[in-house]
Amino acid sequence: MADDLLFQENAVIYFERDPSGSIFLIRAGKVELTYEIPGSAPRVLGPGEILGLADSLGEHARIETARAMTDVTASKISVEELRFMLTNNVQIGLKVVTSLCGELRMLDEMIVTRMRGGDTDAYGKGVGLKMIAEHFKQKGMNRAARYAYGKYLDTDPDPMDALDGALQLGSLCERDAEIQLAMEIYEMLAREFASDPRPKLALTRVRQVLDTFGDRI
Amino acid sequence: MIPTPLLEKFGRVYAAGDLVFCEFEDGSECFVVHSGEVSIIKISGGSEKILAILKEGDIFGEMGVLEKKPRTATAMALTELTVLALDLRGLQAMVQAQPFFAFTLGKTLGRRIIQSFRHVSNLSIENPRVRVVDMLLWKMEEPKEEGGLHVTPHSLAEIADFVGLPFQEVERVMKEYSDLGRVKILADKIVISDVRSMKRLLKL
Repeated sequence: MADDLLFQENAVIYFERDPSGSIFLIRAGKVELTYEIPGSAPRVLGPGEILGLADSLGEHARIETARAMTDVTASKISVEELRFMLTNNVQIGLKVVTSLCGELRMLDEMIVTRMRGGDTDAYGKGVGLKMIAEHFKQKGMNRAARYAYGKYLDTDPDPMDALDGALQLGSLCERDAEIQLAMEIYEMLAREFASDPRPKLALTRVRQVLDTFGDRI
Repeated sequence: MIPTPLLEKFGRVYAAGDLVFCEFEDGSECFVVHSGEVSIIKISGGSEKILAILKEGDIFGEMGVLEKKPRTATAMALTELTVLALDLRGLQAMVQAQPFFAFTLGKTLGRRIIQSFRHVSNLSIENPRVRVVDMLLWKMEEPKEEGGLHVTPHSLAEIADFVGLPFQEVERVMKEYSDLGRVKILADKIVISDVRSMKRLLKL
């Protein structure tokens, strides 16, 4: 079904902007992918990896130049053959989709980096979720803020931070079930704070939270 | 069209304004839009940047289920939204129940990669003026009728989000083109009156 092709070292397999419509499954050797976008790093693919997948499926001209770094053997597969393979083998389908996801994630990270002017701004998970929760709270979008504060508490932050998060979450709760859940979190925190070396401050904060909820139940 | 048994098993409904998921949270499901619209956004420095607006048949969150890494963006329902929420087993069930699903998902991802690639390319343009014009022309729709208007269906704020520049800077550039009669700025769209001269700018 697929044609096995041999590319000698340094041979160009395809150029950026060439028409697509087929993929290459690398059987042996290494291939370098380069992009015309300034500042983009080349990628190296090896046996078992696929060239030209996104542009073929996205019906677009080649988005990179592929050059053989060593002698390369690759199977050329048309989009039509690929469709047959994907619709007849769940495992191949998932492998191809996973490979595309990796490529998309890499590009999305490049977008974010460039939008932030080269500042990768790597938030920790907890800090990031709290930032998003605060953003929605500030915009008055309480349901969205509540969701993000809930996810923030799931990251198991330090007790004092958890209490702050719980206080915020509590102030946004509307439904009894959520208030009940928040109460359980606070009671758990209260027990934890009871053995904390700063019990006075901590328990004052817990009381503050409970008072907030007291009005709502 | 999503088969009813899958919808009954994996269907989930969100109200407008609800978050389907949040950037940074761990993801274990992907989503197929059955009805409604969802916005994929990034929040940074107190502002929201729209990455995409997805509709019926679109797939999102797939990286969470397949790569098991934290979400890289936030998904918010723009309207009432019904989705299929699929974990890895659900995804496999969907691929088995719908033989074309993996191919359709592959095509969706392929198109999104091309869009993201194009976006990276735009953000690599150092001259802000050229970056804004490149974005306007990229997002421009073909006229619906012969001799019709060329329209970019986005507000100035959305264009500023896409190009990653401060709103005031984009507004200043666009006002100059507006004064020259090359564009007309409306609340929710930009009409490009002189496409040829805008394209010429990209070649300088």
